[in-house]
Amino acid sequence: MAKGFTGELIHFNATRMRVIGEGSLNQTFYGFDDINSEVLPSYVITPTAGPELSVLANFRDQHGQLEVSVDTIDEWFNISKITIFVKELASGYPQS
Amino acid sequence: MTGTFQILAPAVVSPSDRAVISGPTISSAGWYNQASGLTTDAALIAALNNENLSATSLRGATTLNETIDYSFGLVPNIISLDGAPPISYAGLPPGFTMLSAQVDFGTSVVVLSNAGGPTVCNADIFFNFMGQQVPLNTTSPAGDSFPTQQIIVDMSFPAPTMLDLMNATLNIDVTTTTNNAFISSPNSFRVSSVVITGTYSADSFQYSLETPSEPVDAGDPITATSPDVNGIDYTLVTSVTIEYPGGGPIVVDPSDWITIEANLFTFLMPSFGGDEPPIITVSITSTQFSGSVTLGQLITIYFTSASGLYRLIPSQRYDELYIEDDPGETIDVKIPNPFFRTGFIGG
Repeated sequence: MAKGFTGELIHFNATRMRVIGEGSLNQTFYGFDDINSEVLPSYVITPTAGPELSVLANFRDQHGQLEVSVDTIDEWFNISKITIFVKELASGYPQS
Repeated sequence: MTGTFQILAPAVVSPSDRAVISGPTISSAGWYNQASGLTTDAALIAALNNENLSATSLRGATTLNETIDYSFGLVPNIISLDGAPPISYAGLPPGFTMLSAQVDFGTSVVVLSNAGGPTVCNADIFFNFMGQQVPLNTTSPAGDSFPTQQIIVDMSFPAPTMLDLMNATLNIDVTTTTNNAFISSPNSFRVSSVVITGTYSADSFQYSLETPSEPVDAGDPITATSPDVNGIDYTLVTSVTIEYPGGGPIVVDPSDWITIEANLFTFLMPSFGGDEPPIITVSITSTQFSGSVTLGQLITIYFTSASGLYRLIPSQRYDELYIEDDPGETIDVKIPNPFFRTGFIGG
């Protein structure tokens, strides 16, 4: 959990993780109640460690969580580190 | 298919009182002389193949009763169909049904000794088989002879089956009396043959048990059909049972037979209690045939109340499920999109 945010609008702009596995790794950002979401490009993972790929994102919300999944039989993953790149865009939503 | 059968030999012959009598040997060819003990059971067995049989003799006593019991085994090869080499009861063709049966006792001769003066002799002979009896009697001083006697098995309802016949005992009972215990010659009895024959049918019945397309649970209807010709007549069904490995049989209560027609039979699936058998076998018995007929099998994975275990196995990358249409076989399927989510980022 990133510290210091208190309702600010956040830009989730990339992910990077140390992962091994087999198959194609899927990532999706979700906001509260899954109202907002963004599917990130998937990429192939292997059982041996390779480069930690940065996957660009363009998800903007006051809150965000990352879902990581696989969706085909025999696919698996093992993640030992996740880095999520975020940047404050605005201090908050103005009253409309 | 219809034909004739004949029992060629019994498994067990039990002549009683064999050792009771002592005295000189009667040496008439083909006679069974219990006094001498020279004739073995083979002679009794041979009587079933149209050879002479002598059942009793008397000397030195005023009254003597002799019996010979034939019993038939299910294992030995003693049943000849249409003159073919004999087979066992278990080897009878499917659908074997005994249509009629009879025992023919060949010409009987009783010889009574009248030697020694004013001797009075009497002989009573009884042939017994499956609850029927043929009595013969003579008081002729020298004995008598009798033509062929016959016992026709009563086939009225409930008609006896071949198994009933095999389990029956064929009995010959001979009693001779005399008022002179010191006659020099013994009395004797013989019968020329003991032949058991009958007719049979061996029809193969057609039937089918419909496999339900919807999930089955206790109380659901199960339907069996048969063709109009050569099919099972379901109106003759006497019981329906369900068996499964490790349990049963469960008898379907006749009150759950909801449709009973010649070519259509429907009953309600009974409760299996706490059991959830993977497969069940439905069998019926009927007055139309001997034994029971297996209508077919049902895959009970259709039971809606069936449950199973889900076991978590480290490194397991797929689920293993049973195949509904192929009992006992499994198929690997993907675990539904395994995923995780991080906590929320943002205040």
